[in-house]
Amino acid sequence: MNFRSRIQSWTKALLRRSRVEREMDAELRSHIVAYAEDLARGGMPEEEAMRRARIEFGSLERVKEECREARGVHFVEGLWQGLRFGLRMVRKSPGFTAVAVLTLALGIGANTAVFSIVNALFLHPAGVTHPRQVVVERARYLKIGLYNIPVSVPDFAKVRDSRRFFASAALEQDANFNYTGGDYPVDFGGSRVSWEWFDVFGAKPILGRVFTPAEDQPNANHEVVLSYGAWERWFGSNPNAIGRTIQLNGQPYRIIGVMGPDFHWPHPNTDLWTPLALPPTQYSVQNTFNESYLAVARLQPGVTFAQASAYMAVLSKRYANAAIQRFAEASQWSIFLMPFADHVFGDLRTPIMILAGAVAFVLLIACANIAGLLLAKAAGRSKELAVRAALGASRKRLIAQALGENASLGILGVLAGLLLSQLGLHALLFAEPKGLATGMTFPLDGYVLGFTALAGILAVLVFGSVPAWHMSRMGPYHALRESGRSSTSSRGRQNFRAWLVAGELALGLVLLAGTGALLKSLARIADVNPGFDPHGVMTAALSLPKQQYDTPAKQNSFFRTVLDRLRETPGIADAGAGNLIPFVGTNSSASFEIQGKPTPPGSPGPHGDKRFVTPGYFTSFGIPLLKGRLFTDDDRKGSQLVTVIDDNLARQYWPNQNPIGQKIGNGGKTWATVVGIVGHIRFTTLAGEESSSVMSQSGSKGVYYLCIYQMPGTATGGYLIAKSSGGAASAESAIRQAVRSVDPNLPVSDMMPMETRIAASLGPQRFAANLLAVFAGLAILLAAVGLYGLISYSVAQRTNEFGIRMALGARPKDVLRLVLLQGARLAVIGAGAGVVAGIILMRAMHSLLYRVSYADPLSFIGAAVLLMLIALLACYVPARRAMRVDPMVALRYE
Amino acid sequence: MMSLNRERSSDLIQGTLDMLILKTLARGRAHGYAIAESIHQRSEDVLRVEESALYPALHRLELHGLLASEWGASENKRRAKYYKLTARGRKFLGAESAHWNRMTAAIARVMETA
Repeated sequence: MNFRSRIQSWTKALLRRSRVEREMDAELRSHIVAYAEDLARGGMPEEEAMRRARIEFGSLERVKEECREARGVHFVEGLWQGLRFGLRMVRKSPGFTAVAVLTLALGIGANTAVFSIVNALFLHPAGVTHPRQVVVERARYLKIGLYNIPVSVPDFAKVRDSRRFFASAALEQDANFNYTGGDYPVDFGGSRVSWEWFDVFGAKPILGRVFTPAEDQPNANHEVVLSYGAWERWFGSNPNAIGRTIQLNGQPYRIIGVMGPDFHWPHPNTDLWTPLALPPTQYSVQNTFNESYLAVARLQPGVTFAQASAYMAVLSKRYANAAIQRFAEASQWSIFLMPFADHVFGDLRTPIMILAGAVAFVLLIACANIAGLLLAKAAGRSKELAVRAALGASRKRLIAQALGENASLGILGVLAGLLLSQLGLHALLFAEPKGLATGMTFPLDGYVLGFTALAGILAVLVFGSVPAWHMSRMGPYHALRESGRSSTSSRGRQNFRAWLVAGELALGLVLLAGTGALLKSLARIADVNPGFDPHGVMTAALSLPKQQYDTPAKQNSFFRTVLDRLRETPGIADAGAGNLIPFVGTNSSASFEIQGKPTPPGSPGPHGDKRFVTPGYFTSFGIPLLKGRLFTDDDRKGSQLVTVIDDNLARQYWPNQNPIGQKIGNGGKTWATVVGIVGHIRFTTLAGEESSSVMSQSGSKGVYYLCIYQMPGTATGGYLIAKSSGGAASAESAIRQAVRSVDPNLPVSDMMPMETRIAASLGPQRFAANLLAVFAGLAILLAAVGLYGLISYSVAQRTNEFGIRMALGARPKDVLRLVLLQGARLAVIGAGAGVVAGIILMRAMHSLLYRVSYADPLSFIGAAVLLMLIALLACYVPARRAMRVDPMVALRYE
Repeated sequence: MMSLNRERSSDLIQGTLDMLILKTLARGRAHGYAIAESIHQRSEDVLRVEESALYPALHRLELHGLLASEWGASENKRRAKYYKLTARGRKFLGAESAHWNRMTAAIARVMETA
């Protein structure tokens, strides 16, 4: 079959229908004229010849009709007719239309909203051109339990120098910049990047330019590129800001460019970028295992992720020297690639996929509902259809018309659904607390529109094919006979509708039970004891400018004074500081040695998370001391170097021994003596593997703490912690005042109660559970509407029967029971099927549940009970109607 | 489809209309009426192609790319739609004729021996 010429014929038929018709008409008329001329040549009078020719030719229209059919334009025309017919029907039965369109709009809207999120996060992250080519380079040490950590400078150099696979590559490190040009000090969330950073993302500035290689050099790095947001907020969107010099951390920086509003990587709230300007010494192989950078790269056009990943395995094995090879092999070290979107939004992938599945269910239910409505409607129209079929309308044509009618419903539903999805997304962004959706936009772009159109077409095909299939299965004879008497409608059709409704109820139950299990799991996670007491703890970040605080003495003095002032503030029970605190998404770890325990060959050696803290860190957080002592003010520069470890580390490296008094070090001459053991605390997540998509390291590993005041150069920034007896909020002004009293120019940022941070770590799960609850509600509502429609219809059909029953002595109560039983039977079938399907589905996804069984009885029984209640409610209204049937009216009603 | 003078068309005849049209057009372009007339005459008045079969067949053959059409002036200076064979149509005709010849010869042999 020549597909192309057929399509051409169709489009020609649609676009130039009148021309095709004219040509066909002219062709057939020329045939008649030619015949008439022949006849006239044979001696017949001209008029008589024309008349004879016309008579012999017969019906012009019939021939045309057959030509149309031969051309295949028939179907398209039928569709077109159906569309126009459908729009007429839409106007004629506004009630049906409203229900069908709203149902479809809910289904389409939910799908569009979720796809918008998928699109904005994973398919087309904002500000990135060809996002599939952008990858993140990561490192892992399988033997040490580090599965996905940042990279080192030498790791990056390997990728940067592999131009056959990577078109560009860049390195990044977060940095805070203290901006003192305005009315009060501001802490800019900055990002120090190597010069190709913007090329990797394919991002261009809207004003000025980005960095040159010459600017990415030590001591030359005094240029800054602003984000659109920072430019708008702090520079009044003034184009003359370009070329201006501003003070950042007390250093002059020249503004050379402004990025567009959509580019904000590496974080959704990056304010500015400065050159990373790494000195060449950083590239030394000594730094191979010193990971603290985010590395990104753009694959060469034509290079696939798999190819580049395979090459990474080769690169990993190119060791700089034997010592590096030994440690790399012992610890099973390697570097690997991740798609950029997975790196940034990896935490959200599973929740979003669950939601995508849920909304697919909702759409399926919506389609089943509409199919049910159409079936009911088709029952009313079967006579009309039968007459038309008997009069010679081809089956193809009838189907085309039915499809056209459905298409008009579909178009209205898609438009309304787009509207709903936009409203829904706005509501979502509004409802979503800070953190998860900060800086995110979900644009309605071509991809989303395309998806919506596709979903609409699929939906029309699904709900449209059911009545069309039913209709075509029925011969005209059958339909004519059936509609001759208005008794109960076709058994087959009603049965089919009932199956659809039972299916809807089953899907609804799956979603309800899933929501229940997820909410329960969430509650269980929220109940997890993090190992410390977050109540009343306020935290805030700060960073000491290097120029002003250029010696460890100045840095230590800053922290000591601020913490002393804090502790003196009424209402503040305790205060401390550390380079890292729990639940900010960042972690840090390092290898160490134990004195007197040489690392056996082939072993990577001891490894643990490493934190620099003040003595108040433990007491403010309420981290329990299990043995020995905490840091004290006497642990200072020059005194014996000490360390506090947690019980995980103690168990791991000193099983059944007392670690107190043992010495650990990192290859240098100095050893730190273990003086105390504290309880382990959760650091990035409450439950499961400790990891996060951002710069984190993993494992519920052991931790060793070192005292900030003993480690020169570690007190340059971090977090202040204040424990308040009067709730965390009251500590906010105390922290600000304490910092201001010591350094009025130092900004404090990221002020947040500890409990909020912990709650935010559950953000993705909570987000998914809440949305799932909404979708489950939607699904069950739609299913209830479907059940209501079915029972109402059946009650209307059985009016006659109820009249007879009541005339024969049935009481209204009996009729009520009859109707309710009909509904209850469906609900039981639906619930039963839903439980089975739900258990199978949840079993496949049980890894998402925390200490909740995939067949959680409470979730399933609760969902089933709720479903039965809703089902009975949906049946009760039509059942009451049946109860009130007047036998006399009913019997006359024919 | 196509009627024999006395008998109704049989299944064997189905589909041969396409072949007859193609064969007629193998001699050069022609409009619908001329094709019908030509078949009528060359079958010595046995076969008469009805318009309700001819035109759908022409349109179908054109759709399948076996024929091409153009508008031109007829012998009497009237506008008429002319059909001609495409390369594909010519190939198809060759295959069909060979098949037809094999079939008729086979049938003839059966009829003789019976």
